[in-house]
Amino acid sequence: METRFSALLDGELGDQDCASTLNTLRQDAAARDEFGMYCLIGDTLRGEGRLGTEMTASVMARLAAEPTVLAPHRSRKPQRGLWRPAMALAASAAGVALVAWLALVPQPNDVSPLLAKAPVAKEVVSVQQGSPQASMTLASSREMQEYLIAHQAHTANYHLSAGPQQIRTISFVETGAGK
Amino acid sequence: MTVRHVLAASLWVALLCSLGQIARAESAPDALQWLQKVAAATRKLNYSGVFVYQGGGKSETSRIVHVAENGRDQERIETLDGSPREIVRDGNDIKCYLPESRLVVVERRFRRQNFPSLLPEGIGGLTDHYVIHRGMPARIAGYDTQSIVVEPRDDLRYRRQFWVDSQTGLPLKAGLFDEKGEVRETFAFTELKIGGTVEREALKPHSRLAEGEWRVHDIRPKELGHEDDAWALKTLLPGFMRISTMKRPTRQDSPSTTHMVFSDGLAAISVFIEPLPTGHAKPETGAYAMGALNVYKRLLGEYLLVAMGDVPLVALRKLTDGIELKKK
Repeated sequence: METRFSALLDGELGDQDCASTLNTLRQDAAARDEFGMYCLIGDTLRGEGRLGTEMTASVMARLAAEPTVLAPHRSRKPQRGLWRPAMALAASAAGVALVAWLALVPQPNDVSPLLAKAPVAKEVVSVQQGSPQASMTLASSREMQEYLIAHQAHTANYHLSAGPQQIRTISFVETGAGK
Repeated sequence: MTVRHVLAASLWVALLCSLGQIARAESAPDALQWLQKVAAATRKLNYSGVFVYQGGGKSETSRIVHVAENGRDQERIETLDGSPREIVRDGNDIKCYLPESRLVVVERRFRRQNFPSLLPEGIGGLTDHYVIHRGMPARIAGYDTQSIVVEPRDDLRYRRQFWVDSQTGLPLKAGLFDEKGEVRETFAFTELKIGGTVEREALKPHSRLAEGEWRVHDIRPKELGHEDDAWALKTLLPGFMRISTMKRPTRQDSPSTTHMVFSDGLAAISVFIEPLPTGHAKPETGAYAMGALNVYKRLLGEYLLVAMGDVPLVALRKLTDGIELKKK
């Protein structure tokens, strides 16, 4: 199984083998533990990875029982960007680490794909209004403008981007507002 | 690599499913420390720059100047596109200049004991309702930034992401995302100078604003104790605390409006309770979008309740539908 793990982590398995190995991991808890330990040892040898709380009890116990440290040959291969750390971390069998690290998948150009939809540019871009219930856009009126000013002024402390975030106050004003 | 990305993603999904119940996700402690640094930086640093704000289907560029000294901070934001609006703040005194309507709105916020605004225990409290962890670093406006991702644990909050200067913690870019992951709002600096001195002139409103006739509307409130007001809150949103309650002036002939402010440390909600003048036509109620904020209006007897905030509508509805007049 070790060779399979190695090949899987290197991205060297063909699609079919990859799928079947994943399937095994999916169904077999013992195989998952083994995979998890395999990855973790490799990570430790390379000086990366998260030890401690992310380990399941069984993997910890196995690690303690191992007299010699396995030295996966792949440790000499250069890291393959997203694939290696993503796989290794996915394999540390505690869901805690998985969920926390899920958002760390680097996207092209290191820009969140969400933000890539709204490029920072001068032209007006359509930004979704959010919840489908908010289908009506408030006509600007002086009352609402002043409520907005009040809301913004008294909540500025609670925004980490306090300064620029205040722009909301005057951004909503439509030309000719003041009705 | 695309295929591998897809496979990686499917592996996570597969493992997630097969692992069954996922243990409660933990926030990364270093990400929390970053948030504290960010809160301090925004308050205490001098900076000036140009940023682009996108929200509510609009996009515009503005300049900002911020100076902090002797425990007091001053700030000015002026829009560079369209009508030249400004917000000028000196400590807790705020003036909003709206040239299109020749209106200056004067507001005052309350002095708070604790700067930075996020109390140390407040940060810890954030993790009850958000999972906070590091995102990918990025280079923005010439600065190396760390990014912090803040995921809500429930449907009462939105996801946020901050890109902050690695050295000072000042946010260079921030985003607010809805339940579907769509962008509601972003701002990003395109030019920024951190530290150093800032010219005093840059903090004053533009000279054009001194010319001509301006109407001044003073909406400065009076703070109330929480128990002084006439309203009972039957529904509490988990994690949201009532920060302040105040009365503010409305029309000359009517009693004042009650304004309550709630926050969970990151998101904020205001509820305005305004007595309706007798004989007035019933105002429209329901759910609205106002830029990046949501608004919910509800009638309660002779009062109009208006709730607004950078939270999903469901949060505004829950809170506002649970407000009642206290029995005398």
